[in-house]
Amino acid sequence: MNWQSVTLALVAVAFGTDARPQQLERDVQDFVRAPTFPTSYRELANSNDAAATPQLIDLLNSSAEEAHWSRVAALLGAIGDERAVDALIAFVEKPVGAERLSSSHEDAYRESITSLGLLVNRTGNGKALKYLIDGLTPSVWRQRRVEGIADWTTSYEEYDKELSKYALFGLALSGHPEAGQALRSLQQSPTLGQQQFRSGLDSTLVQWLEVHQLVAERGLAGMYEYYDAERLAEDERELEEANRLRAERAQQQRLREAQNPLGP
Amino acid sequence: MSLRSGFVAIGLCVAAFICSPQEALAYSRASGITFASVTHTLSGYSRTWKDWNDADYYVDCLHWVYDYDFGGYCYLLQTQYNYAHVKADLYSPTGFYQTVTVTDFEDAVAAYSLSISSQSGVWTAEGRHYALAYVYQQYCPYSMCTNPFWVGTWEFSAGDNTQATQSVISLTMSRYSTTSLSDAEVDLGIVPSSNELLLTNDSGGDVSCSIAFHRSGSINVFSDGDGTIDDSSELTTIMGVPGRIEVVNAINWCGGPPAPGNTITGCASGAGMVLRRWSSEGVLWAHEYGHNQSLSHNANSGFVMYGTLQPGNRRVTQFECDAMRNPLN
Repeated sequence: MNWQSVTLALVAVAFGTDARPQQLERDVQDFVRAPTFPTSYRELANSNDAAATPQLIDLLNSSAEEAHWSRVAALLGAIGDERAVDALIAFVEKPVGAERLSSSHEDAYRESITSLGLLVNRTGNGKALKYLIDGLTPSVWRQRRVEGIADWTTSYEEYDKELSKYALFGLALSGHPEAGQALRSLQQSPTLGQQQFRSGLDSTLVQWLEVHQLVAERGLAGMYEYYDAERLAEDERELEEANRLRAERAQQQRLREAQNPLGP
Repeated sequence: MSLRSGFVAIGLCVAAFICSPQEALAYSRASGITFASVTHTLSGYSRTWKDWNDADYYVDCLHWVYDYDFGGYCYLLQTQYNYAHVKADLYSPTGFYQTVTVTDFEDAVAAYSLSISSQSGVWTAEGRHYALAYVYQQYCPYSMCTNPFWVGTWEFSAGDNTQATQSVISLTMSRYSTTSLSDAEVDLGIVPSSNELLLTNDSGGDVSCSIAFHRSGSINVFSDGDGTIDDSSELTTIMGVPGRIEVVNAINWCGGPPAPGNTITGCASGAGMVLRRWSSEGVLWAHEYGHNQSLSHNANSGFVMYGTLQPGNRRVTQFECDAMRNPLN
């Protein structure tokens, strides 16, 4: 299958007018607001360093930046500065004031929670790791008073499972041994509070445990590059097949024309 | 008149059994092809035009002549009858399909009924032998009519008037039970947007690509899975749901996890695609259809096949257009 054919949605948004004095801040703002955003983890991780963290946290707390929150959260995770842990958790637990999340807000939840996994990978931060492991139990998100549900869900009970899934993704991306253990526990012996969540996750757990193992073995960049290479190889196989089919058709067309050279 | 079209006109008149000078004139000067909204008739086919594909193509023609513009045409007919045979494949923006075949000894008029308020266009000689039908549609619920809006341009070739040269692509689709997607959103929003951006030549390496996507059948509703794609097995399962397009709530896996900060909006494989709702869906659907035809990403922003979805991605190269117009699946 041609998994290369992934389309990534990045929304171009007009630049704001908030002129800040420091060049760094301007650069960070421009980076997250740009029409395109790195599709390579390695490029993203090398794009900025810890000096950008305070500015990124400001952006995450600015409602004017809602369209860019998911990028900000991802960049905070990729930079790997532990100061981002509290900011990302606070973002997820911040009162929303609306029952339904906007699409960009919901994307930002997913990105913030999975970014905690990136931070665990980069720093081994215990708080982030525990937050994700605890998050594998859907009811925990109610205890955390996370507000708002995706517009395609109908209840907190339903959306909490999505949040737990994001925690699962984050743990896999961390590549951390304890994270792997937590995922295997969920897979093999879920707690009472996890059982309903666990029931539909057979293939998902297998897949993301593979992600976890790849991260542990190759690092985050290595894991993403592994899947990129797999997609590329599959894409090339499919292209080869398409070219073969097109050549066959052209040959058939030439045969038809040879049999009836004067026909329209 | 170009040398080539001049040659054609002379050739027609030499075929004196069927051709009068008036007909040759009609051919070279252009004639109209018009859809009458009141009578629901499509008219304006000239006999000259129709003669290229008359019914006695293999049976009655004694001598064929080949022309580079129009392919073969009959130089000498066995019969004196002007045996006009028109076949028109007609598509409405809402997916209505009708084939009309009319055979007559005089002017044949292909009549059809569509809920289209007006359709008119001009086909002409002067070296460009085609007909363009600009199709508009309006709705009139409760005596309140919307303004007519453009839904597509249909191109008929004089060189081969047995079928429209516009590539008509039927899209079958399904949605997850909790995913919002209506027929109207597809018919009035997404599909016209895809068709328009492909047809319009935006310059800068773009070509006008005449493709008419249209929804085929009702949107199927499925409940396999939980509405999100989280691994390759779920992706394969959902790809197996009937229809080329499956619309779900979220895609968290497409041959691998999404890169941080990126949202997967579409994932194509073979003849199928899984999509989520997003802005710029006209671009998204055309893009994934391009992948179905084995097109790779275009490295240049502004092109439909650019890997990052942006509303300004409107261009297609000739190669990309050809691949979409001549689908493999």
